[in-house]
Amino acid sequence: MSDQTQVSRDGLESFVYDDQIVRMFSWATIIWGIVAFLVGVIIAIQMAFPTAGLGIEYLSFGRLRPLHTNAAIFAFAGNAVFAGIYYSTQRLCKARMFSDLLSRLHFWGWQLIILSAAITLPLGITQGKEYAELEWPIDLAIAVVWLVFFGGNFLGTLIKRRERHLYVALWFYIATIVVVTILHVFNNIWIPAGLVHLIKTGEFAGPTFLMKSYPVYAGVQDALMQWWYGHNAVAFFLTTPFLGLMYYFMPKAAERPVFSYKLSIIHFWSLVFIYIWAGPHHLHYTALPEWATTLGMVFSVMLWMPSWGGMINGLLTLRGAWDRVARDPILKFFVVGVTFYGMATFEGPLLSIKAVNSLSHYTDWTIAHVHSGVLGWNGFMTFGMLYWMMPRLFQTKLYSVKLATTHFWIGTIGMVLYILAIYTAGITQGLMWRAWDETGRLAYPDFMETVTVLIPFYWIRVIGGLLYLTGAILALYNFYMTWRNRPEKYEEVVHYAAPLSANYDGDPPAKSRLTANAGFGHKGDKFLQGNWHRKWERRPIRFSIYVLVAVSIGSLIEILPMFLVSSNVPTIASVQPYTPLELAGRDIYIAEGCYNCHSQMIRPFYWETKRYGDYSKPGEFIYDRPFQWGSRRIGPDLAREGGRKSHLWHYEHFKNPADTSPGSIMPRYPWLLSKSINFPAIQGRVDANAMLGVPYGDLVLEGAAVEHAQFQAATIAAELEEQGGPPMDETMDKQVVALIAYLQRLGTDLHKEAPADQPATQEEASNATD
Amino acid sequence: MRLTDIVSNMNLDIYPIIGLILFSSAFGIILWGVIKTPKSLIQHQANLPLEDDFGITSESTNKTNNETKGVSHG
Repeated sequence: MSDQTQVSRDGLESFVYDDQIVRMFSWATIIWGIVAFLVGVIIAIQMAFPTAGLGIEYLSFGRLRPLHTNAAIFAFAGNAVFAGIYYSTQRLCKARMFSDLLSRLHFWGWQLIILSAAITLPLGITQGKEYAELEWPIDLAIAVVWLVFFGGNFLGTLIKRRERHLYVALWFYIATIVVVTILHVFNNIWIPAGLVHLIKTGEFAGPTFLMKSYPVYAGVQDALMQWWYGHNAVAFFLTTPFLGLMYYFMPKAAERPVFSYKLSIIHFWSLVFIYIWAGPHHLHYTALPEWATTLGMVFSVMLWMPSWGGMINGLLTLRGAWDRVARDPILKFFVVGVTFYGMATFEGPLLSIKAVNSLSHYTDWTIAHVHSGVLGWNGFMTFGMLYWMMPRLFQTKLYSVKLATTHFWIGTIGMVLYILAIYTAGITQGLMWRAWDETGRLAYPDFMETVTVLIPFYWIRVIGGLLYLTGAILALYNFYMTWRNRPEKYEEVVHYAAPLSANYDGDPPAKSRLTANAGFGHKGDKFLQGNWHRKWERRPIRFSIYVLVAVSIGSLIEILPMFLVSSNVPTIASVQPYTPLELAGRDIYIAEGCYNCHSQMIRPFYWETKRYGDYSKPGEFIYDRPFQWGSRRIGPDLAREGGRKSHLWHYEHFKNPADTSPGSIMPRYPWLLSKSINFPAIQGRVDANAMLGVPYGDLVLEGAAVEHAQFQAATIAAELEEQGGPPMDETMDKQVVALIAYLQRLGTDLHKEAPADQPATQEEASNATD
Repeated sequence: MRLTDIVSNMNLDIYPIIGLILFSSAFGIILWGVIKTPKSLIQHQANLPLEDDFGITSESTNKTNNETKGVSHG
């Protein structure tokens, strides 16, 4: 271990903080932040000007959007969190980090994970689940780096600390580490299809397939798990660690303690208890059972109180220092950051109310909400923290306060432009989708009308994004110039502090104040004196276990019934597994990130069934691994796309969407017309799904799935030729054919006849006996 | 008989009530614990970020114990 602790005079221990690791994470924060914002601007331009993708597969919207979200969340915000935690934890614990080696392994491991994401996502290697796109080898790396390197190092530091009380910021960090571990592990239980195929057959079907996995959950259950993860990733990756940073860095910057420490304790426990329940509000009016979404809504509304308690606590920390806000850009960043926290946490519960959600869901409103949180809350808290830390880390003055102030104003104007434009776009979109005339017809039956009207707002978003990016570049320049002015040698302060006593008696057990001699009464009186909570606050392992218990209760109450009560997902006899070619086509759909623009979930509203067809049923998705319900509709819903258009229409559409749909902002997919289907991998895909319980029968026999797929591909290619498309020899092994096979299947099972050998479902059997 | 069959036939109406009782009880207990924390202790805890660069802990002496040494940057 690298504590470099020495026992000196008076029995005090000497130690030096490891600020080098903080410098490393701080640089990574600003550099990856610029990458994340730049990719965001690129895809924003593509939405306003679709040909900007140049028909290059690695630049297509569906592949770059996950790169943007992952870079913003895990690279920018993630590195910021680590920088702040390493800085504050050492000081709050009065101890150097437990292990310099673990710190470095954490840093380089995390950067390697980000680099892997930056390579694999543009290659189309993805799990197809929002914010959990990274494939299984990277998932394993995340688990090791997060839990072993980061978690182990953090916990080790708490254990060897020299300050007995764990300050509330440390509680938020503990919750972050514990809950993110749980979320990551349970949302990433999969079968690595390519690896299994390689081990089983010895056949290597390409590097992309080697990375391919299928989740063990399917359809409705996968959706619940994903949004339990997705929502709580926001809660415990973008909220709790930043609240910890707020409770540490705002008092530092304001030079006064937090407004109410008691309120911060209530804030912490309320968030931990309530947040974990709220995930299902992302699935209102979908095929998820209503009891689950209602539960999610109720707890989301309850979140209003602790969130605003925290915001008010943050802002009132500046009591008596408001005059400094006018002069100090750091405080400006913090004030706007915390205000955006308040706005985003007001809007979140608002959007979780079913009536509001029926309008907002699938629209750009959600995108505006997310960006107010990430750019305003996470971004500005990060910049405030970096401007505060950098001069201290480089032991010199900040190069330019004026430049920092300019960054603040450019960033703020950029954010406001972005958010207001996209709010307007979202509400416009939602209102147009649901509008109908006096005869009961949709007022805007052509989906394209609801797309083209948004283009001006998309251009405003580009300008807003560019301004925010410019601000971050100014920050990088400012930090670089500050670094250049650093002293030749950094001075490292040697601190002295006493180790924690093993026989601590500073907080003796409570004594009963009662005179009566009833044992129960004495125990109750001791309990009411509240010493037990102060003991919790000194015991990090026990504290972590209590956090674990709190989040487990909420999780299990929602998740277990969904998995164990069969009536939640009534099966439909006519719904059959995808054919091998359709399965391959589905995996292309996932790889291209089609779910980033198209939903596959028709909600039970008049305006949706009128536009798209019969509403979606839970039983339709039992073979969907992963589920592809989506969360926004830049393009129309595809749940009942099968049979609506000819093969030729789809072929021409992929070649150039503007030819079949004038005004479309979908990018061109010319590579689908030239790239071949990976037929050898198809057997592996079918085998992996069969392992998960999909009844593929004889198709699991060696080569059977490949043969079946080739036959179906030839049939579709022949039909395509008949419809006026290219000769079948040119298309029968191309990816576009597999994708057409999948799209033509979507939503068609519902009204088919059940196979003769299919036993009646539980629901059908009970109907027959009634 | 599978676990799914057993759970499917159970009456789970009590589930949300149990959840509410657990939540309210834990919340109430913690609220009470926080309210009962002595003011002096709360003040000490709230001040931790402001004194963390001085190398003093509640169990050490009250003098500032710092020295500096130079290290080359990495």
